[in-house]
Amino acid sequence: MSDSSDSRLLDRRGFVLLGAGALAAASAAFKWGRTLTTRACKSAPPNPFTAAGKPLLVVVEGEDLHAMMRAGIEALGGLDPLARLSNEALFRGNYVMSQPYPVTTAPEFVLAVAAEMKRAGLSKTSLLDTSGTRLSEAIQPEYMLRRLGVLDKLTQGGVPVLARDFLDPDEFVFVRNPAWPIAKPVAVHRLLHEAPIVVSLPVVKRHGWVNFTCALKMHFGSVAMADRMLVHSKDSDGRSGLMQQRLVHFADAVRPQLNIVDARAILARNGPGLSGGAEVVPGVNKIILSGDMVAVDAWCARLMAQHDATFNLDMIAPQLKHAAALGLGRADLDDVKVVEIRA
Amino acid sequence: MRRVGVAAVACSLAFSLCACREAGPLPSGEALGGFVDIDQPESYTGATLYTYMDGGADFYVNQGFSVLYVRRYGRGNERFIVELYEMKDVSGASRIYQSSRRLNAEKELAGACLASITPTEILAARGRYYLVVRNEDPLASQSDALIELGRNVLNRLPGPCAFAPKK
Repeated sequence: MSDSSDSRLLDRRGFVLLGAGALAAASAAFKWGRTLTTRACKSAPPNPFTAAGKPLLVVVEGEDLHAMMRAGIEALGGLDPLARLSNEALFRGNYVMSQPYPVTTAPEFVLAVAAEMKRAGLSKTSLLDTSGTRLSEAIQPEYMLRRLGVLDKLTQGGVPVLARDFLDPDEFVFVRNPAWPIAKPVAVHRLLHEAPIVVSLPVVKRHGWVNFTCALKMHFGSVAMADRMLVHSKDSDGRSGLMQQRLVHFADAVRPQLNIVDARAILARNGPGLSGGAEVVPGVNKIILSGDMVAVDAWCARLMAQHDATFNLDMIAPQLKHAAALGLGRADLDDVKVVEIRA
Repeated sequence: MRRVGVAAVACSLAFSLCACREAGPLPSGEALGGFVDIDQPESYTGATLYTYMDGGADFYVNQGFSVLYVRRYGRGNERFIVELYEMKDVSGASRIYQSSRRLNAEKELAGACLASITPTEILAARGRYYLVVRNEDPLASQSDALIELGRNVLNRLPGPCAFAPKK
């Protein structure tokens, strides 16, 4: 192993190849932008997990993940409403950097959800992630998932991992909801747009610029890297409100049927990763299940406030209000049927 | 206009994906006292930092980020990661440390340098460097090897300590 700068991942030949790849990507993106039509956001059926006209939100406290998952799904009324839609489900986790749970979705959590899906009669579950590109050897789409052990554990557990290129224009489709105050469409991953069942598997974290990340914000990873970068570059300090709005639009473009949050531990004080003063809070020992991602964030924000003195609910009020206004769910927990159980 | 924007972003992204393997001031594990090198060193510039952290990079960039050096070390069953953020000036490193440290967890770690020390993570600032030494398992228990690694890396960094113990 060399310590010198001679050991650059990209030598001259690699740089030339990358340059050619970049030009090809730019050319493809130009062609893509010229020919692509903007579609409506996916048409998702109404939230099937409700009680007395209110969205149902189940909180399970315990220490045995599988028992918690089983009890939570039973309290939700079972997964039959999903099984009637399709026999395949697509999972989305939070894989923002190569740091393990609670920064990223734990592989054992994905497998626990997959086991319950299979038990409910779904024949296939897969995990989609777009955190790399084939244009660079250093950040191949599988790189982060492999380092985290997600790739091997899920593959061995019978859950295929679909690691896709965040720069490949063919992977994404432009969608737009006319209710968005921003006219520009969003390039959401084609598989998410077309999947009959999407299940989000968020973690609960603070976020340096938008204060909080759970069910809504995690869909930054569901759109093309160009969309992510444009928002970051135009709202680099998070003060303009663009990111708070756009993260809601990204979630609207995905509209998962079910959100299952792993809050056995949470990341407090800062985030979305370690290193910047974030603090892992172990022993929270909860999972949260709901078809309403706004209600999930409203509840999980309260959970964060209990464990992080630097956080308050006003910090995410703008994104919850915007999401509720767009019809993504209920921000007021008085309008949600919250069921808390132990397993 | 949209297609121009998409092409421009794709082009700049693709050209910026030059993650390198420079170690900077981070030595081999052997030089740090019996640690084993895990993987090759990595380094990231402002243009590539988002490939290391897809979210949160702005925190460093806005404080005058220059280069991030990353190395992974092991001892026994434990795995550690060292992140060394080289900033454009001393004040940038100091500001990041100030906003990241835990005041009730500060202790003298090496050479009269204060560091924020929790069971799985050490934070410190010295010269233009903001240092993070972390157990790769964020739920691990306290480790003597983590302290030793942090002390040995901090001792090797040039420049004055950003914060020293009060006398």
